[in-house]
Amino acid sequence: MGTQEKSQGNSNSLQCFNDILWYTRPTPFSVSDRVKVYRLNEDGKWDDQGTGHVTVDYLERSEELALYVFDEEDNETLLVHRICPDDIYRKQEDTIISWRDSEYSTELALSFQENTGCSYIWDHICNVQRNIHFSSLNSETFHSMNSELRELPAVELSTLPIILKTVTESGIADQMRLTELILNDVCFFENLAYAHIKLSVVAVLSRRAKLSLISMQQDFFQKLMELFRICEDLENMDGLHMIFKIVKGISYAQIFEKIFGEELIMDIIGSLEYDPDVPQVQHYRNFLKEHVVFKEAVPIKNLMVISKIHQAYRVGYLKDVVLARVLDEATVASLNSMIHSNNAIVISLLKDDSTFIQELFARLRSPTTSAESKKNLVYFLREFCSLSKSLQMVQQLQLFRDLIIEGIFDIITDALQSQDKKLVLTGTDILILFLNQDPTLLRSHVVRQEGIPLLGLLVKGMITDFGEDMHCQFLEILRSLLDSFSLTGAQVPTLIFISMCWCYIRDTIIDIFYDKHLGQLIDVIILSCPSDEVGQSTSNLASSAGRVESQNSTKPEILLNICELLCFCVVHHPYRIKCNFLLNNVIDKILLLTRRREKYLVVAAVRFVRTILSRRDEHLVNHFVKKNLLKPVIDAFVANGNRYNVLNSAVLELFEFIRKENVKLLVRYIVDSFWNQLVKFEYLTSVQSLKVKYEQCLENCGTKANVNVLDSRKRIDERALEKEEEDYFNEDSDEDDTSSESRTRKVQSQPVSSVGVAASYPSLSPRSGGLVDYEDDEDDEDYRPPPKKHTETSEDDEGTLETLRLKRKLISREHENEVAYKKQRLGKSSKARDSVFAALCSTLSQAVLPSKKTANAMPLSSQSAEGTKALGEGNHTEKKSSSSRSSGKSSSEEDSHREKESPRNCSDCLHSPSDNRQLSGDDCPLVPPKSSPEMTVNGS
Amino acid sequence: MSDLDRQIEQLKKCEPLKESEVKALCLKAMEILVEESNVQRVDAPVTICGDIHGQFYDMKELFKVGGDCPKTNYLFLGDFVDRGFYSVETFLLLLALKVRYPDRITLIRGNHESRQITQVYGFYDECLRKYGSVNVWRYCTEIFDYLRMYKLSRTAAVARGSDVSVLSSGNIVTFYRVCFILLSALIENKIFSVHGGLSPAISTLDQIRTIDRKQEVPHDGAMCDLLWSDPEDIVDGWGLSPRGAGFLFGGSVVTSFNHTNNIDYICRAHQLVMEGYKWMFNNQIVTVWSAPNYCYRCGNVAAILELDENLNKQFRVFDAAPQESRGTPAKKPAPDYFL
Repeated sequence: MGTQEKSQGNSNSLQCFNDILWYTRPTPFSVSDRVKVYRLNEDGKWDDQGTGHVTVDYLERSEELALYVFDEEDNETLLVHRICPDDIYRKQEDTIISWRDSEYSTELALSFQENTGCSYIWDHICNVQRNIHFSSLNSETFHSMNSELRELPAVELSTLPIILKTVTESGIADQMRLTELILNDVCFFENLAYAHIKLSVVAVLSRRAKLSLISMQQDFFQKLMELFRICEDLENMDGLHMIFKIVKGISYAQIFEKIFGEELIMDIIGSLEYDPDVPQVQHYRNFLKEHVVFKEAVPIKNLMVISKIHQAYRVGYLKDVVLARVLDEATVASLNSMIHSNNAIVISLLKDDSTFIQELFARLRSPTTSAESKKNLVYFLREFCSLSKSLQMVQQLQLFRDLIIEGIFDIITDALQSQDKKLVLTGTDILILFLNQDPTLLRSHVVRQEGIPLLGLLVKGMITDFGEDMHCQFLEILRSLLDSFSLTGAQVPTLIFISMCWCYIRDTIIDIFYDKHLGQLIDVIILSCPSDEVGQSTSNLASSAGRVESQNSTKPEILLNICELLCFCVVHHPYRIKCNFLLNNVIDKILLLTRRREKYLVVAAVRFVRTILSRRDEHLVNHFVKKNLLKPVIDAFVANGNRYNVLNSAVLELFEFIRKENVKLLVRYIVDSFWNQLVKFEYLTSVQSLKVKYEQCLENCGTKANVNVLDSRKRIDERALEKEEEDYFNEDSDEDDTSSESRTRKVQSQPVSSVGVAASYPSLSPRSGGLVDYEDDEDDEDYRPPPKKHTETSEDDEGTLETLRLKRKLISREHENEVAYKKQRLGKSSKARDSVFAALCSTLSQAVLPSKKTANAMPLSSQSAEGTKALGEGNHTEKKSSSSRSSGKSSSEEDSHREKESPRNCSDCLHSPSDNRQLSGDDCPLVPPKSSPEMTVNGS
Repeated sequence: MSDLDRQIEQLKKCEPLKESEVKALCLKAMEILVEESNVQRVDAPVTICGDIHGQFYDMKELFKVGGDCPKTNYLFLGDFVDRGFYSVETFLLLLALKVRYPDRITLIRGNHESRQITQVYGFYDECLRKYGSVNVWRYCTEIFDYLRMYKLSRTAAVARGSDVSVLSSGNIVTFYRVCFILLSALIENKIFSVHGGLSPAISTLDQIRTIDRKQEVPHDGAMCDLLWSDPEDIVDGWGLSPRGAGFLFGGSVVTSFNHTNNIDYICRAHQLVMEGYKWMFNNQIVTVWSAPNYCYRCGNVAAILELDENLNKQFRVFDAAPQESRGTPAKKPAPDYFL
């Protein structure tokens, strides 16, 4: 028990090693200064004092600097702490700064959300401390410091032990003095430079720059390194080991600048090859001299830039390789900040060197530049953009804007078309850097560009086989381009106008993607999935017949990426994608994935279905039932048998969702259509609960139906829809009600029924025109008719299309107008586009309103579907030339017609079988003429 | 020697795989994991290991103490990545072992197996540093992510016509996305293993099975609690966790949970304990910690828990790997540079 208590105490003091989950709340401003404030209470526990943003600023009416933390909620001051010259601060991990606060007389800690923020503040603190020290040294204490460290002994082999002792045992005050001694009078000049420097990265940079220009006098390290070379020549291992320890022990940030200069750094690294703890001598210098190549894509003329580049690399090498395991956090932090500031200097000097940038782009564009050096130039660009992270946000944004003006996106467009996959991926890396900075930068380019469209290349890249290489970047880029949630990148718009522009740009990209590229992705799926042997596939369109040979060639990860992007679209653009699906009958094509051998693709397809159904969109639910879209899912589930794997769980989860969300239409559809197959899984609770739900539905249906019908009818009246439309919808819903009613009856008399399947067969009502294959449908009324019949029907329906089209025109003249607008818009009339968009938005937004969902959702969603359907038609006429997809388009048009008619069709199908005719005939008069279609879903 | 065996050998030397090999490995892992059953009913004998946190050489010590993978059955309680220097090598080695010996090693998900957390605590940066791009991170987190949707237990057949309310709280655990690495495991029906702890939303194992996780990255709810919660002496019942996620739970909670579910004890990780393992609440819950000298400076020892076929316990305590057994660091900078 004693040990337990001890460990309890320990674990409290180690609280800061526990992880903290940062909530991803939207933060309008940079998150790097976001901190939590902790305070150690009497029980030895860390109390959370709140979350806020930290800054370093002057105390009021004082020249002293302090840490301020302002509460992120109410902007109250959470913490004010005067930065103290004593060594009380500790940096833990990369995200925690803690200290013992004399004012609060307890330990305080700041836990940063991001380690960049942490190191930034840490640098601040160190600089402030240094300033305080130097200014105090600058006064009288400078020459009369009461310390035994008046001077270091002369650097000789015999004095090494004393120096080592001094170096390793000195405290902070001594360290300052030691630094003095080592740097000798250099620091005096430094102080002058320091005196009035305010805290900013720029200041730190300028100091460093000055320092490196000041030549060394009486140099301690020069002597030490001379000694090192002698020892090395003599193979004096003791001496070498001692020098190793001295060098390793001197880790004060102030000295780094000195010892990492060109003239000394190789010797310093050399002295670190002799670690007494490691038996064999390392060969760092050899690596740096023989193996490392400094590449120059464009010659850099500024010598300081070059030396900074080399220095940053070598310091990085010291940190990551030479001293990787012996460095303490503080030293790592100061090395990092040195690299960071070097990078910032290099980038900002190159950025402002207009001849350099011009030369760079001139070479990139010049036809005479060899492919090889162009490649190098692109690689250079990537490093350039990547290192620009060291700049301040504003500067980086400015740099990226400049690069865009120079035409960097054209360069990337070229790179993306290269045969060299590494070059292509480098191009995508650069794009991601731009997207991370601000997605608007790339979006604005994608919309306005003429010539080779970047978006197309990205889509192409995503579906291209990169062999062994990873190419998930494409998915990521497309996702950020199509993201409809994020407002913009780093900056939050202050002007409504600007944000409107951004929305406009984003929507245009989404439009282009849906018009041109979504189909491509679907085609990939169709091509790569085996169509059914018996020819039952719904995808068995004439145009796809010739493609069969090439199937299965697509890599599974590409299909996985496509499926993921589609899920993303369902979540981000629910209405647009809905229209697209409903128009193009795409869902069943995506469900071809269930035929793939790779089970994770089958699961991905199930997840896609789940994502759609999560929208709780009644129109889509109807669509699923009508098109019998769950059949492939159920088939996959059944084929999986009793194997207890992720597929099994995914489908059961789908059932659970349907049951819990009470989607009655689906419950009925599943049980009616598939119970024969599912009955052997009845031992699974989910399957059984679904059946129970189904039986409950049937019981409730009879009693509640009438009430609801009346109710919803009333609501529709209130809404005062346009007359034609109202009639139209009511007409549909009548029959829908009838169908549900009759289905109910039928099921009661005959538990395993085929009605659900029947409902899924689109055929045309006799009332709506010459029904050609009405009888066929009747014949097909077995339990699980092959889905191929869809296609057949749709092809046979061709003749009736005209009639339908006429009817539809009557119904929705208004929407035709929209089409006209839409066409104009596609013809690059942005004003018209906006107005249409606004109109669409208002239509759609009503459909989203959650409170009205039952009464309004259905009519409105059909309405919007129609609007966009018309839109699709517009595209169709525009793009008739694109041969491969035109057949798909026209069939999609048919689909949409059928959709309009299908509620009616369902009921007609119901009526047609002889055993059913009587029942439904009886039912019909019972149903009031005006009722809403959603009743089938939410009716009871 | 197959490619996979060669890769395992290479990883054992702490040399990371090439990007293309990572891709192939992850795809293979997906194929295996997708076929795994949701409830990992683990059979004894088995050796249970806590957090590793990218301390590759210390994990090698662990294998020295516990025995090599195909010879010993392993159950890892999550947190393979972040904080240490070798998250990439650590996770890839475990994944490669999983692919090579699927029945001999079980990986449970920890709170660090998440996109959000790995971006803060190091795995993301490490991938970026070692591969020059974050593609490897994308693939690995994809695996974590595939880890998500899970049904924990095969449902028992329920007689038809049973009470509906019983059915509606049926035995399905459903998560929004497919989760390949498990949330928890049940050893011989007697020991419940999870990364973090319990959740106030859950009092029976059946309820864990009925978690319905709709949000993609949960910041609260049962799933989040299982990965984030901690037992705490001074708390009676439930308390707020200083971590910002999950809860603190006291002895009474554990007692009633164990009693209700007829399990002997809970085995979890997630918290640094200086002695490597720590019993709490009268031996009803044990924390196992397998990262010695955590973060290379906490000075703690680590432990693993060996269970024999009769579930007899033996803790094996071990120290951090000695300095000289650590090879040259794997962070080799690119040999050429422009800037």
